Amino acid sequence: MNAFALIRTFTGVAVAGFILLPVIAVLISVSDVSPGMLLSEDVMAAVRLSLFTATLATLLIVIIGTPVAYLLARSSSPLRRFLEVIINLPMVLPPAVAGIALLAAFGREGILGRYLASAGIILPFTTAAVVIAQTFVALPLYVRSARAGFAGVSRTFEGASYTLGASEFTTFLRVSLPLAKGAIIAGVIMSWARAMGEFGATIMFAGNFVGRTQTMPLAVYSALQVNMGKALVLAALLILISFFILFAFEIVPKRRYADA
Amino acid sequence: MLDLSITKRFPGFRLNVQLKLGREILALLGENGSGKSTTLKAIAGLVTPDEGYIRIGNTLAFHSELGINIPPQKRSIGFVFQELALFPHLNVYENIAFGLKVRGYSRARIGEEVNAIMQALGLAELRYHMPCELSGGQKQRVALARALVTKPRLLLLDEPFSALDLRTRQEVREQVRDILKTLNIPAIIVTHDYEDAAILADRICVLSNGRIKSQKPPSATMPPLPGVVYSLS
Repeated sequence: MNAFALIRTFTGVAVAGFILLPVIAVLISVSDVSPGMLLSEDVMAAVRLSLFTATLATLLIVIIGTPVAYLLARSSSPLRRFLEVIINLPMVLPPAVAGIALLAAFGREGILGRYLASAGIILPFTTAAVVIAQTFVALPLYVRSARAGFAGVSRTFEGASYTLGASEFTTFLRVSLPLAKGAIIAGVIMSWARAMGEFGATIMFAGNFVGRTQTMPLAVYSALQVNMGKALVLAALLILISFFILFAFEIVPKRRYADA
Repeated sequence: MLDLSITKRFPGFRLNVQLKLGREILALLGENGSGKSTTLKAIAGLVTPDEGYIRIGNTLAFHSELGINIPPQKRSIGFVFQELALFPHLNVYENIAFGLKVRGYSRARIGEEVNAIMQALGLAELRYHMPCELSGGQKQRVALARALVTKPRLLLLDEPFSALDLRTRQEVREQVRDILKTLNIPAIIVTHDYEDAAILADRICVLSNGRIKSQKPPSATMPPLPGVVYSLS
């Protein structure tokens, strides 16, 4: 074995160890925690809230993100590049900044929030705010994936559909959408994962209230200061969810249709 | 049946075509980049000309000055694409049924018409096959069946045999000729192969550099050399 091969092997093992060690450490430490901790009221509340808000946010993302992804894949307008940059913005924005930005927009004193407040709609520090924060940060992940999926669908298929009498909308539903399915599902998984892990924007915009806005990552943070066992249980649960996400990612249909 | 005069400008290229079609099969012969595919797509409504008009039967499908541009969905034109463009996620039956389904026909009627055309084109055995499982000739027939099942007024074929090897090509070409003769449907076939044109068409138009150079019956054009691809240069 030459020196370079040795270095490659060593770094491979080191990187795997660097990632796995903390994960395994959580799983080992959690084995000392009494299983009853799992069923404690605030842990269960955080799990329920996280599953509910992340799923609702993903649903919203699919509803608003799919037409945008299709537009980005098909439009030749110069405005398209502009829209693309805007859509990607939340991905590079620090989550805490996203939280402040959401407060500045939708907070009680926010530029839109003050009108909403006078209409009786208060968003910050509610469960709705959690969903808004998650949608804000996870949307680009879905749009990017779905856009790549639509871009991979040959326009000839759509042209064929038009000549067969299908409207643009029918063509979208029956041809473009099914052919982009793999990328769309991958986008759903990624954005759901991002929503599940959301911390910074949520704590800023929605606060940290048990049962209302305290999602699992926020609960880990809170528990760390009073009860390490509880934090470990929640962390272990999030690790399990992450493994489940990776597994789901693997079974997504990877098959790409060649022009037939 | 079809009457058109269109102009379409591209960077460094200008397509300017006048064409009249009766109840006949016309071959549009030309080399790559001569504008023949664009002409076909303009007739189908997939490409919008800059100027001119396109009349299909009694309907004005396109007129630049009158601002008329009927979408491809409403032109009742069957189109067989060079890539065939069979929907890869649908099986043979679903591919052929697609045009009838989007018209909202009843399941019974769709079944009847799809079965009839599958029978006629020898596709009955392939009903549940996916496009990726078919041979080149079989794909060709499915694409033809899909275009014909909606009973179009006019059939357009864009390089329909280019994906086939030489032997399959001859076989499929004869099948297509027989089908077109039997159905007596007017058709335009775009090809760069003189043999395709000579065997299939009642009349040949040669397109070169975006313009129609000559219009002759097949026998009067260049003598066919068996197996040799006709080149204009």
